[in-house]
Formats: sequence, C-alpha cells, structure tokens
Amino acid sequence: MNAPTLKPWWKNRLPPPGEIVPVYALVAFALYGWTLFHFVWKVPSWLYFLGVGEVLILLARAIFTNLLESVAFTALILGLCIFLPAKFLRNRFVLRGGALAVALLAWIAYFDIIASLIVPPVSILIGWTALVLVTVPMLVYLAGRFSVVERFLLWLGDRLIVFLYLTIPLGLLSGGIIFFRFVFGGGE
Amino acid sequence: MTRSFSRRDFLKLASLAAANVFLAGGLAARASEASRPNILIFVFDTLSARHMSLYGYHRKTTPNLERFAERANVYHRHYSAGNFTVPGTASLLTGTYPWTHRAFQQSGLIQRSLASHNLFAAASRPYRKTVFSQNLWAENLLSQFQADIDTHLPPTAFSQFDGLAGDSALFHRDKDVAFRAYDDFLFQKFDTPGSLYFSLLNKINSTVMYNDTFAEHAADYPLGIPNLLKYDVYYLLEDIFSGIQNQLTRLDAPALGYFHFFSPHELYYPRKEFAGRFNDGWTPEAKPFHPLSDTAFQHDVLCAYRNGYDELIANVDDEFGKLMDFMQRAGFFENSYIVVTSDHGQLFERGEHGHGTALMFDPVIHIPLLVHAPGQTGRNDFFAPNSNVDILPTLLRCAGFEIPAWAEGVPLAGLGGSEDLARPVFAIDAKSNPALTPLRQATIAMIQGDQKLIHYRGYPGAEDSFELYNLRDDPEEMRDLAADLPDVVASMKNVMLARLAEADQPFTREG
Repeated sequence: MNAPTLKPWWKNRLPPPGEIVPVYALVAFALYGWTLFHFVWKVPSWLYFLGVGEVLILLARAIFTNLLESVAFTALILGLCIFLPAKFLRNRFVLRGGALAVALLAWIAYFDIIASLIVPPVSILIGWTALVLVTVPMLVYLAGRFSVVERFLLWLGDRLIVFLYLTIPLGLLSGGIIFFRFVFGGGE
Repeated sequence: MTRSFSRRDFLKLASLAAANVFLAGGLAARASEASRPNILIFVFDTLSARHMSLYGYHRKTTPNLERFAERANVYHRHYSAGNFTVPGTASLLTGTYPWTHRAFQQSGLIQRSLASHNLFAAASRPYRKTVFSQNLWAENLLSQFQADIDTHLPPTAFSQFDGLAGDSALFHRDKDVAFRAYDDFLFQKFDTPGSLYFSLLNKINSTVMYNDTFAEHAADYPLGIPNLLKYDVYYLLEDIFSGIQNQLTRLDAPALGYFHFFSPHELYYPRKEFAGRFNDGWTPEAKPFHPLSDTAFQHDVLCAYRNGYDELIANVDDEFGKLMDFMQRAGFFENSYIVVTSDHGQLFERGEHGHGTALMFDPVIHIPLLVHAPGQTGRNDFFAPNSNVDILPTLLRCAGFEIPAWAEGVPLAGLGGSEDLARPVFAIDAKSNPALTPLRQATIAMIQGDQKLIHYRGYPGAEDSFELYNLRDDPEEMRDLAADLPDVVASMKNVMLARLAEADQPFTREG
C-alpha cells in the first residue's frame, strides 16, 4: 500500500496548467503589444542617429523586459489565487483570471498615460489604487455573470496561445543577447 | 699612489651620468608637465546671458560671477551653436557647428566618423581628463569620447537618489544602450512609457523615494527637490558643488576638467533663501507670439516662470561663489584656465517657455562666457560676436597644442585671437532631420556685427522665410527689418546658404 503523498498546500490552490496558459497568453499579448506599439512609434526618431543594429539591441532589451513582466504579472495573479478563496479566482480561472488581467492592465495603462509627465504624488497613487480595488473585483464578478464574456475570454485565450510560440523564444533569445553584452560588453 | 681608472670605473661613471641625465630629464618633463596650465570648464545648463546681472540684466542674479569677471576675459556676445543641449554641447566639445557634427536631434549623437574630433582627444598627454555631466543628453555625447577620457564620473554622482535603470551596475558594460532602452523608452517620463507593468512599479518606487527625500529636505527646498525633469535623478545643489569641489582636489596636474551642471535648467526649485526673491513686481515688455512658437503661454505665466528661473540662477551663482573661493584658496587661479559658460539659454517670450524650439531669439542662444587665465588679476571685455565653436581652438592654443584643421572655430580675442566684427557666427536648430541627410527643416541664425539674420526653412507656413534684426538698436528683437533692408538680407543670406550647402554636400546624392 502506497503512503499518501502530500502536495504543498499552495499547489492545491493553483489552477491547472491548462487554465494558466491562456491567461498568460492574454497577459503576454497585452504587454508585448503595448511595448511593440510604442517601440515602432520611437524607431523613426532613433534611426535619425542610431544604426539598425543598435535599434535591434534596444528591441532585444524591450522584449526581454516583456518576458519578465509577463511572468511577473501572471505570478501576481496566481499569487492572488493562493490567498483568495477558490470561488473568487481559482475556479473558472480562465474567465476570472482573464477578466482580472484585462481590468488591471487597462487601469495600469490609464495610469501610465496620465502620470507620464510627473512623479505621481502620493494622493494620485492612493486615489488610483482605491479605484482599482473597487472596480476590478466588480468587473471580475460581472464578467462571471455573462456567459458571452466567458466564451469570449476562453476563445481569446486559446487564440493568443499561438503568439507564445513567438514571444517566449524571442524573449529567451533577447535574454541571451543581453547576457552576452553583460559579460562581453557592447563593443561601442 | 693614485689608483688607475679602470674599465669598470668608466662603466660605473657612464651609467651614473646616464642616470643623472635621465633623472634630470624626467624631472624636467614632470616640471614641464606640471607647468602646463590646468583647464577647468564649468557649464551651467540653460543659463542665458540675458538673465545675468553681469551682462546688465535688471535683477541682481549673478553677483558672484561679477566677482569672477573682475579677473577674467568677459565675452559679451558669445553664442551657442544650438538652442538646446545636444547641439550646443556637441559644438563646444568638438569645435564644429551642428551641420558638421550632426548631433542635432533630441538625445542625438555626433556622427560616428567624427567622434574622435573632440577636445579630449585633441588635448592629448600629459593632460589627464576628468568629466562630469548631470545632463544625460550631454552624458551621451561624453560617452562617445570615452576612449579619450581618464575619469568619467557618473551623472548620478553627488545626487540624493536616482531611479535610472541604465545607470545600474548590471549594465556597466553596455550603459549607453541600457540608458536608451530603459530610461529613454521603457520607463520614460514625459511620454507614455514603453513598459506597461514594470513602469508602474518604477513610478511607485520613484514616488516613495521622492517623498522620503522631500520630507527630509522640505524645509530647505520648499518648492521641491531639484531634479533632471525627464529622468529620475534628484539632487541638492550644494551637494553637487561640494562634490565637484572634492573632485577638484583629486585632479592630477595638468588636468582638463569638464563639469556640466544641470541647474538652472527647469524645474525651478531653488533653496529657501532664494525662493520668492524676485517676486518684485517687475515684468519685462511683452512680445507678440511668433507663428512658430510651440506653445502659447500668456505673458503673466511667462513672468512667473521667469521669476523662478532668475531665483535659481541666483542660487547657482551663490554656490559658484563658494566654489570660486575654494579655487582661490587652493591656488587654481594661479595655474588654471577657468571657463564659465553654458550650453544654451532659455526663452520666456513670444508665448514660448523653454528651449529647443524652432525659435532662435537671443535669450536662447546668447550665453555667458568668462575665461580666467592663470594669474590673471584684471578684467578684459570683448564685444565682437563669437561662438562656442571657438572654445576648443582657444583652449588648445592656451594649452600649447596645435589647432586641428577640422575645427571650425578660431581662438577668442584676448586668448590668441582678435575681435572681428565681420566674421559670421551661426546657431542651428534641426532636430527634425535625420543626421545623414541634407537639412530640410531647420532654423538657422547668423550673427554678423550688429546684424542677425534668422532663416526658417521647411516649416509648414514658413518654408523659406527670413527675419533680420539689428541687435545694437533693437536688442529685444522687436522690429524685423527684412523688408526694409533687402540688400543686407541678400548679402547675409548668400553667406549663410553657402555655408549650409557646403555642410550638406557630403549628404547629397552627389556627395
């Protein structure tokens, strides 16, 4: 008779990998997409005085940052899974995790745009945080009330997985380039 | 009985003689090296000559620079070759105009093939070169000269704190690209950052650090902690000057030091002793908006900004006074050329606040230049127009070096040159142009004698227009004489466009 194996308590609170991947795909698509959009906006002015090779190195840094960001952000959501009751997030993770990711990222994008000119004062940070804490759970709850939202997020997450075949290898390659330059320098 | 002089004795004597010659030669060489003057260049970013009481400004903004001027050559009509940091600083350090060095974009770089044409390379051994720039765009330029620099202090040296990712030890082998990737793109301020999530964390970190620092220094800096505006570097003015003072004590003679202070660049956060000093009710004459002004600030708003700027200049001047007293005690006035200047000025008129716009009126390109020569005890004043491209050839001549053929400037009057009212000097703004194509959209100012011609080229609605001012009769540039003096315009225009064509020639198809 086999002795029962005990999994760490937190593993029981995580969603299955098959549900994590589409949420990660959604997060990665948003983060990579945001960066690439603004990168393309910047490239023409950079090319005024930088060579193509230098611009590609900048792109490598940006993509590797996206890889780290996407993992960190997904880890944040998974961390919430560990500490919140299962019915709040872990159950129906693609729906609730996806809605949480979309709502949070939208608020972060709004903050990035309005706070681009300044070091935001504490009052703005507090106000923004309060808005996030109030509206995001509401949006996640409301998303679960409409089956069309769940179907859409499931469909979207599945479709976006294909981009991971591009973003993850590019991110790792970029990391390799950065490591190489860290060790051997840029040769500038 | 005398001892005979053996071959061994001869060899001993010969080697001793050789050693003496070598030693004497070495000492002479060191004495010769040490007798070369130090060269110390202090650049105060965004300092306009038009706002200095030294040059007749209404407010007493620079009493200490007036003290310094009593032992210096004072150049009353010194012009930057650009109207913001990149072209202005690049011209100072290369002795060439922006249409030659091609660093005229925001955060731009000198044309790679010309990077060896710089003051630090030209002032070769025995000079030991030390550089420091708070301004990160000037820092980019200095990094291009890295091979010619011995000690390169980071821009965050002497600062309270910084949130620069590119300055991290992680990227020490790759810091220029890291700076552009992280501080100029992924976490940038003044534009939407390229990173969506990490930039939020970066902002939260900056907020926390800023609040801690402000809480500690709010009593001394009631308006806010001075910072680099576009980048998260926060400093106290006195710390920067104190740090530079310390650095001066570590210089190996003969030293070539370049120290680029960020103040009095906006934001205008002076110490409490200076805050509010110029709320005196004085307002300058209002000037009409210019069609190419980037902004449309009303006159009262510009006056409020002007007050803050003047107060910060007074603060900077006060700190310079302490630095000057230190240099006096340490003997630098006896063995050094001390240069005080700026990279560009600042506009508070015609709807415009700032610099780096399409406008080239005097407040943004007329900058201070004071040069103290070793042992100088009196003041000399010079009034012919000159350019910051003249600083490189002047300092090289003073240091005993040949002036390279690629330098476009000439030695300044009083330091190997002479006053020449017929010589034109230029200032160029071309930030919307690629570096390696002819200049399609630009503002070019040409100052010759009392006349100033401004050419607007390639702007929608002002494709090929000229303005002419007489700076002696109309120093505020209120009366455009272009229609009244077409012959003068034609004559100056020919000179200007010939120089432009010559500079553009390598970048045309035929070139």
